[in-house]
Amino acid sequence: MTLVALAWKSARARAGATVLTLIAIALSTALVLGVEKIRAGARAGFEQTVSGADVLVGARSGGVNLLLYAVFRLGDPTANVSWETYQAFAARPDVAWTIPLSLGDSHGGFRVLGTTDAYFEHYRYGDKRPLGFALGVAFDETRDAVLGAEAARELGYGLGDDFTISHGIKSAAFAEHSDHPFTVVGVLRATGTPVDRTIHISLEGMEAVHEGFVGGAPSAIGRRPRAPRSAPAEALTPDAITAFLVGLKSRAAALRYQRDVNTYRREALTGVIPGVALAQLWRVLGPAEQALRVVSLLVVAAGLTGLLTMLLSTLNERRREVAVLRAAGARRRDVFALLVLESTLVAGLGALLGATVLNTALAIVGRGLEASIGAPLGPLGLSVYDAYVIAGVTGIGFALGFVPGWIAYRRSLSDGLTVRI
Amino acid sequence: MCIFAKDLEFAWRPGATVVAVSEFELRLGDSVFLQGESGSGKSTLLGLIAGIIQATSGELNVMGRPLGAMNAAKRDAFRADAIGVIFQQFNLVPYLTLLENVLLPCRFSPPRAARAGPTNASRKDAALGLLDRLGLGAEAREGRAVSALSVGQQQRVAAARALIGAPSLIIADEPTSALDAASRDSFVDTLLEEAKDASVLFVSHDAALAPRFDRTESMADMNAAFAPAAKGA
Repeated sequence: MTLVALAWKSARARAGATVLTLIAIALSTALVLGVEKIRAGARAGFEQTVSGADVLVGARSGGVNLLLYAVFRLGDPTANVSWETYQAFAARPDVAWTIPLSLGDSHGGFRVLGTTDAYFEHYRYGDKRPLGFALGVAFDETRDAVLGAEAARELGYGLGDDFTISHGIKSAAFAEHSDHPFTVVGVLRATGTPVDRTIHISLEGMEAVHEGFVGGAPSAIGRRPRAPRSAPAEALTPDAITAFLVGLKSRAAALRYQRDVNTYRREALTGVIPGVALAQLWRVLGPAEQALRVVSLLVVAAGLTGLLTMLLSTLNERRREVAVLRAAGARRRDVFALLVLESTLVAGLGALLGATVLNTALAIVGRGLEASIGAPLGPLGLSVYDAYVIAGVTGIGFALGFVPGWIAYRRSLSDGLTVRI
Repeated sequence: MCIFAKDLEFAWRPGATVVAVSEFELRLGDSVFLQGESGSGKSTLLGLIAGIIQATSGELNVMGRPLGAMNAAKRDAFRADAIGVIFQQFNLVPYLTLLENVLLPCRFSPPRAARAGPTNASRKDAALGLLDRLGLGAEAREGRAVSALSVGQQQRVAAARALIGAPSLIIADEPTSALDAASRDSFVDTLLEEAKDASVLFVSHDAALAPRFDRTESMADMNAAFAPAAKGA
């Protein structure tokens, strides 16, 4: 029988305390790994949302703020960009393409985005991947709508279904634009980005919805011209949009383009390079992430303290056992090793159990969780980080075992062959 | 000579000498009955002979090896190889089976494992043979839990553990104090029969057992550190 087997049997003999300690360590390990997976997932989700666009332009505000509301659909736009200004910046010779973004309406809790065909052609996410259609095609007429994958799934809409949109972002808004039903003509493939939770319509459709509205509320006079189902685009040109993404012919021109936007005299604008704004966002979120990490590590420390407490509390009942082992020929270092082994075993098994439980749970409920936190989780299965955490917890368990190990080692000398109870 | 001690002294701290033995001998194959009350320093003397604690001064040879010249790890290894120990009670590791308890010394001492048998299976047979002669073969084969044994049975398992792998010296510290008279006598007889090739150092306060041994020593006479207190009491 090896020392490991002896340590194992000893731990098993105190199954109650051992299992509780094991569970505490497993739960705290699962917490650390879970926090990390959500953190990494949220970060990856943000970073994957927009790629390929060189400059994002919106009304004057903070760069992070602009990025959050225009690309991530978080928060509300502060002001608009006039159509003339958009046209002026879109027509510059160094511009390859632009995507106008017009926000402010919602349907069933999903944001409605007014844009153009350029969105489906030029928008890139993740590793410069283009959007693709799971069903149908891009919008063509004023009343056409293209749904993100999740919006389509949750709303239960398929091609040909009609719906109306409401002003503002509350799903239960009282001002339903009920005169202007939209028809689903396309559903996008899932991207794992806010695009999935967006309903896309044309700028003309957006404008048609708002015709007859003054200041966001239905006009008291009741001027409600019923636009034909395919109104001429010229008649529905918007006055303003929320923001626009710009792709330049040369990336090198991005800084100059940004400077021109920021110094534009006729309108107060902000231009940001998405990667730079993201980096700013991480700097803002950094301390919060650190705090979350520290808290989860403290929970692990609490779990490991429980392990130490358990081992120390069993030392007295072990005195007898240690004397018997010593009489049977165990060296003092065997007594020491036995406690260190037991501590390592419990910590290691606890960490493994925690990682297994977490990864199994994520494999089962992962999709639902992704939808509710609005960000993809890190890759499923054991990651390198998981392995580090398991190794770390096991290592600390090993080190903690030195404390009871040393006490038992010292005591085995003074106790000698006398069995004290 | 199995044990040879001369001017042996042990003190937990200076001035608090608990063992002072001018001379003590145990020849190979002999059995000695060492009579002593609790507090007479007998447990400390056994600890010295087993090499768990080290003498403050004097000479102590066990099986011709000077324990004073060996470090703690060497004495531990020597004890595992050469000495079987039986306590008063609580001799067994509760989470091991009866058989695992008996085979425990083989785990810590390769020489004893080799003497018990060349393979795991043969060592197991040797342990079962010992337990058979001690009247516990059936319990061992059933894989009975140690906690389900009576105190007398536990002491016999402890004897089997002390005897496995034929150590040269058996040390028994009041092994019969928890037993009734009948099981006490049969325990001592079986132990001496099984240990007839080894030397036996048997400590007890029960003088009725003395005639079964080759020789009797009294702790009160032998331990100069204990005698004054005993006389004063």
